[in-house]
Amino acid sequence: MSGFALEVALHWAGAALYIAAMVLFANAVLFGHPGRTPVALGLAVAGLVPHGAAILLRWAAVGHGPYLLRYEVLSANAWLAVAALALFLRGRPAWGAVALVVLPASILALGLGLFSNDEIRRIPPTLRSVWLVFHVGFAKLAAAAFLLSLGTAVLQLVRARGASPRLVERLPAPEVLDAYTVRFVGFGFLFWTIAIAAGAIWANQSWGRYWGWDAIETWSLVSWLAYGTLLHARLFFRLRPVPTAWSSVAAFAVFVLALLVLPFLVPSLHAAYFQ
Amino acid sequence: MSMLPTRLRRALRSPWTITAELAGVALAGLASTLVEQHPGAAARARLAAARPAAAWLVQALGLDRVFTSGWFLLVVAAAACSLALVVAEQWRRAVREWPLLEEAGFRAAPYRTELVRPASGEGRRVRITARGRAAALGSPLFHTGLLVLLAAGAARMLFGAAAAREALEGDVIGADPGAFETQDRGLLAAPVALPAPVKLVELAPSHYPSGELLALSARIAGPAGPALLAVNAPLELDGVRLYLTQAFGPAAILELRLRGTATARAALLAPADSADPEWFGPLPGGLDLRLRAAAGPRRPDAVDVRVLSGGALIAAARLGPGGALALPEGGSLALREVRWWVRLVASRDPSAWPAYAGFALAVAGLALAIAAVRVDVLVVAEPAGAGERVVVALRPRRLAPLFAGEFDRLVRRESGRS
Ligand code: HEM
Repeated sequence: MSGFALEVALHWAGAALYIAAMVLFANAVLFGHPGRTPVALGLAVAGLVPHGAAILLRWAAVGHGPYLLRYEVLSANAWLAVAALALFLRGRPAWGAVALVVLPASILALGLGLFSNDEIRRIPPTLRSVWLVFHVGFAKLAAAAFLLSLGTAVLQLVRARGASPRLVERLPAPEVLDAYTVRFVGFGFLFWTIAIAAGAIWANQSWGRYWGWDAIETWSLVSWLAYGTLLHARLFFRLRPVPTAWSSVAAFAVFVLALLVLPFLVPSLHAAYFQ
Repeated sequence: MSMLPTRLRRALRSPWTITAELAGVALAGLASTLVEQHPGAAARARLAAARPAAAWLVQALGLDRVFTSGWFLLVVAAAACSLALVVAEQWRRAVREWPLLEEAGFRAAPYRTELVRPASGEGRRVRITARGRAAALGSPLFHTGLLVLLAAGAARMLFGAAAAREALEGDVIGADPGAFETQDRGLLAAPVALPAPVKLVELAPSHYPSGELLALSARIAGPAGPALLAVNAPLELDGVRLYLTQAFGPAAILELRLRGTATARAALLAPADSADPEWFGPLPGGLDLRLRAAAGPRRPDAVDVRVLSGGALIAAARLGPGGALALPEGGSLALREVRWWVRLVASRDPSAWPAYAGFALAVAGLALAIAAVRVDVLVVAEPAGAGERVVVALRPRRLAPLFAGEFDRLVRRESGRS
């Protein structure tokens, strides 16, 4: 088997295990079999192994970390999101429902990655900087934390929209869901701030200015402001759990737009990224 | 800030104003990606013809130069004033709230219970502790960082400047602003000039085996002797930073002989539609010239030359250095040599270090504000009958629902059941 074929096979093995985990999580949460949650979690963690191996193989083949092409970026983001989910669910079996948001999103990202450009592209000189590691690393952590906040926010909304009483019974209480949504948003916001700051320092090393209102920079700022506004609104207007959940879904939409959609649509200095 | 009238201060401190300020900055960002910034006269006229209402709106709100428009600068100035007020207030509050709570401060504690345990023989004891007190410094530090960043941004708008030019190997960049082709500078900034002439001695690109660019560096001779300049590794020259960009290619140094006069010119070839670097341009006498060189890691040793007249090819040759092409109407075009060219940027930005300090404060503040939570704990034990009555209270300042487990453990410990 060629290196690339092995990489793809490992990716699919990871995806298959995530899908199995998702089905089992759904079964555990929707049909009231809490005993199956740890097994589902085990399947998701097992999926991280081939998926992680695929990322490392690619890393070795292209000579740079997973941060250049869409295939690499989406795959690594999905890995980190599942790893963050596993970390959160460890010792919290009652929270299995969060996996029903995080796993489909990760599988989708992985799938989109697998069906996109898989050519090998080397990183250009401007990207060869230690700041890249901080910039990209923290952006990925932010994405994982925001995805978890989306998970808890969606559960809050499911609860509020009158899902079946038996399902509602199995979801955590609204104030606890709310506290975790805010916690994840908080950590995501911290990571996103570090990613933007590292990007600015790097831009000053590489392009001669730390801020230039480039389209991708600007949208990162807009998504950062969206989360900042959400955190303010919690304090200023004592936002209740359901409006908080809606606001975090909206802020997540802006974040995904900035991070994953906009790079296709606008001309930007960041054009080498996410082809 | 204390000189501001109370009503203005109250308005600037209002939650609605602060929310509107954040929204204003976000909207300016949105506008900058939706509306072309700094369009030429032709693009403006096109928009006016195609969508007059949109053109009017763009004009009225300055949306095509949104980051220097009056309303945006006003929003940022208002945000800076709000921030200054809030920061002063937050620091005062952080200092005021630093000490341990009094017993009465636990009346509002979300976790509070009473239990009875065997008598210890001691009298009434009150134990008040707190952890995570540094969390209270988080938000003030963060907002101070934002204020420093805004100040840095303002300094950059006023005093920052950047200049750029293309340079060939062998070129000397003089120590005057005229050595650059473009100057882009802040309202009060002098144009950028190098403190002393710098010679670009040689450019050294290196490539991956696949042919993609791996690194680009340049040997230069500067005021302090020879030095190396590279992409991502600018050179500090007495307050001016000199950058090597990734825009580079072969330059054909040509000599055109027409009717007894010789003119020399350099044509900078750059990747166009094909991956091979190319150049198109007019020659005197109504002729057009097309040059193309093979892309590759080494300086090309030949250039394909095509001369056109009214779109028709009239002469073509592959020339090496020293080679010449006779033109049909007399005269000749010679290739003297091929060198590398590269785009250089020089900038002077007194706001860079303040901006870094702002980032550092903001990140440190946020880490405290997000990761740390102040938790105050009260344990009051007093004799009651044969045993001892104990009041246990726990007051997290944020995210109270997440502390149920900790409170359970505390209660178990105090009741001796741990
Ligand atoms: C116009 C400028 C700003 C003003 C006047 C302002 C004001 C405030 C105030 C009054 C608080 C409440 C602090 C407290 O109760 O201790 C706060 C909290 C906060 N602000 Fe701002 N702020 C501004 C800009 C920003 C920006 C641009 C962001 C980031 C996008 C931001 C993020 C935060 C965060 C994360 C908190 C803490 C929320 C929490 O503790 O849950 N602020 N701000």
